[in-house]
Amino acid sequence: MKLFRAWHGLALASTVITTLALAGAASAQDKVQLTFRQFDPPTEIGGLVTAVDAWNASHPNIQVKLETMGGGDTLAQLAREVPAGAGPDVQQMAFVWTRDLARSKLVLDLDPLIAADPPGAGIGDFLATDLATLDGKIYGLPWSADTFSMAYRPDLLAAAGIKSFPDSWDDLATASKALTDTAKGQYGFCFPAGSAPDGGMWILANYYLWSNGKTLLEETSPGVWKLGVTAADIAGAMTYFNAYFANGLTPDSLITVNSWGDPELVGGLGRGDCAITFFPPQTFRAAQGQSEQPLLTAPIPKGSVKRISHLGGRALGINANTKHPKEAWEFVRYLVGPETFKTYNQYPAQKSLLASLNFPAAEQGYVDMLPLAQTFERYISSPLQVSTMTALINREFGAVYSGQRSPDEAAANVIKELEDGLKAAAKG
Amino acid sequence: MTTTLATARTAPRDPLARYWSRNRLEPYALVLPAMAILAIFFAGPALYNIALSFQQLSLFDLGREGKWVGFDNFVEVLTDPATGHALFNTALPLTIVTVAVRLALGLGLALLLNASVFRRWKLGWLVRSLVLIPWVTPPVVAVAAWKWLLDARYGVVNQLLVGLGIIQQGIPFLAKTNTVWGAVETMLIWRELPFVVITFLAALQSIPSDLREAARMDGASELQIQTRVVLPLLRPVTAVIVMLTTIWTFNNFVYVWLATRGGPGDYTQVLATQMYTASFVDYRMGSGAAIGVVMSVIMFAFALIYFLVVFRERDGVR
Repeated sequence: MKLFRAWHGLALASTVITTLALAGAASAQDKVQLTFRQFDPPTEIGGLVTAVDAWNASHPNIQVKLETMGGGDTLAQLAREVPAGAGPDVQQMAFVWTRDLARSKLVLDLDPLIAADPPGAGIGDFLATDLATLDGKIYGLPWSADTFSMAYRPDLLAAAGIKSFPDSWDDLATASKALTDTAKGQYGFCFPAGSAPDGGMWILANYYLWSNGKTLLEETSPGVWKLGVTAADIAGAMTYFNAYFANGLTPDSLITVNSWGDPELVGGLGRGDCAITFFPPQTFRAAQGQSEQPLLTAPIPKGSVKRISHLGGRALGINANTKHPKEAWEFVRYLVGPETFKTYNQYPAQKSLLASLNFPAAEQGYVDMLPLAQTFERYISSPLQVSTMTALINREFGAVYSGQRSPDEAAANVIKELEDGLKAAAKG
Repeated sequence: MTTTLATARTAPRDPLARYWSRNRLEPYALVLPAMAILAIFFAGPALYNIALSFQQLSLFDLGREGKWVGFDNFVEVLTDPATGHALFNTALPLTIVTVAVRLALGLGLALLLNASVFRRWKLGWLVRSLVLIPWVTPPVVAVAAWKWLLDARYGVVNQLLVGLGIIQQGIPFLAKTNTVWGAVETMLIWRELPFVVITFLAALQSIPSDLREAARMDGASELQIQTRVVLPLLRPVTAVIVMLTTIWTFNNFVYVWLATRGGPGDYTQVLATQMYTASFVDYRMGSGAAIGVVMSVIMFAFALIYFLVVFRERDGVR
């Protein structure tokens, strides 16, 4: 009898253990683990972390691991990983990357997923889908949209007797002169003038050129590209921005600053080292957090033709190697949904969500600039890499600021390299 | 009969062992694992890089075969004026200047640290540990710290110089063409000097004290002992230090990239940053690989010539 009881107990225990093990294995099989990689600085993603945590709490079978990688390296890393069969399931992409990744089939064609399960209020509601489209197919779902506006310290402008924010580039130079007091360590206009290939000078240089009716490249007829600037136009832009350094309206130390998110700019505005700078929204909010004085935004100065900025932002792509495209798509749909934007500190790239957004009064500059903003489509469709043009512009503007080259010499270099690039592309 | 018996006793019975013994394969078998590791982790990537240098391939098409373009990438790289500028920067301000300074400072510091006073007070371990601090600091941290120290407005160096009345306003060391190389070289030398010091120190401590004593008894002054006895004995280790530091520095990417990204403009562009830009900014993997091959060839030629000169002199061949 004792033996029977022992056998019975053993059998029962074995059954329970086996059942639990099988259930565990089954549940492990059902549970999908996705990796989502983003490139914004950790200081700016608190809201995104909250949104991902909320997803994980409500989706026990689709767990998402959030990865952060520095912006400059993310694209190259993807290009190395994906061909090797690795990489994150879902990737945050700058708008300008999508076509490069799509052309090499490193991200999935989203059309079948969009058709089966449309995101938000439908794909027609999304902004900047042109940048995410290659050969009529969508490879990245626009997620957040932004542009730049000028950011400033209203108290410093008032103290200098400036009643309204400078309206044009020339007004900005004049106001900067009035705002500069080197004895106090206060400078009129601060901007990232560094020569790094991914520096922020590229943005400002293009705003200046575009507002004066110029563009580095233009498509004269489908597939035919030519320069949209002359050496004199580029030299003019270089001379304009170099005057800030030459006249002491911008500190020389900014010749080494590449990012608009650099502490010299973000903290400098709050400390009063800089009276005016320019920021995207999330950087402006970071600056507000560090400033004891109120900060405001204003439209980008206008040139001889118009006032303009660029419509930038982020798209979401799905790795061509993912084993879980459906689950990844479900997560992407969640990220572009209104719940995410309750905590995620970015403007949504959807017209309906943007319309329902309450912009704080301090962010009026972005409200004014968003309708005037244009994407970098004009460059992305060209045969030259945007990253190559960015590096070229930053390098040559930096060479002028540091006194290495005159504006004419540097402008001639820009023209020559752009022309050489177009010729090489034409040869194939 | 005696011979036959002896042969039978020494020859292995196992046919495999007999084969190995006869063909003397054991040495090869013993070095095989090391060779395999070298082939997989060094020769493989090097060969892949050489193959890439003859192709036109975008970063986004890695893993696929590019278009074979012969020597086009090399022609493009070698005829580009930017390469000459980068080669000059790599050779002179980055390598020759910093190797020479490290050698002089390293030898001087090693001679100081080898002083008997440290042994007498049992402080040798302390000074050796202090000297090693920069070397155990990751280069990324070292450059970030130096950038902060050299900041024009809030950096300690500028605040000190202004406080002492040497300058009126902070100098943006990394933004000015007349100071940027000095700043980069300072970062590099500070971080890499300990290797030279420790290597010289080890060599100094291996010199038998009898030699110094003998020279002293022969009436040599301290200066003569150092110049006529110690320095000649340090020649072999100096040769190795020069060789290693030159190759490491010539190929170095970290200091320039983290400190200046090749700027302002392209003032501090070196071959390693040019290679990175070609590959990961312009996405032209073939051009980047060609720059890498050119760098390897230059360093290979340097090593060959250097060793020939050093060993010919050592062996007394004139």
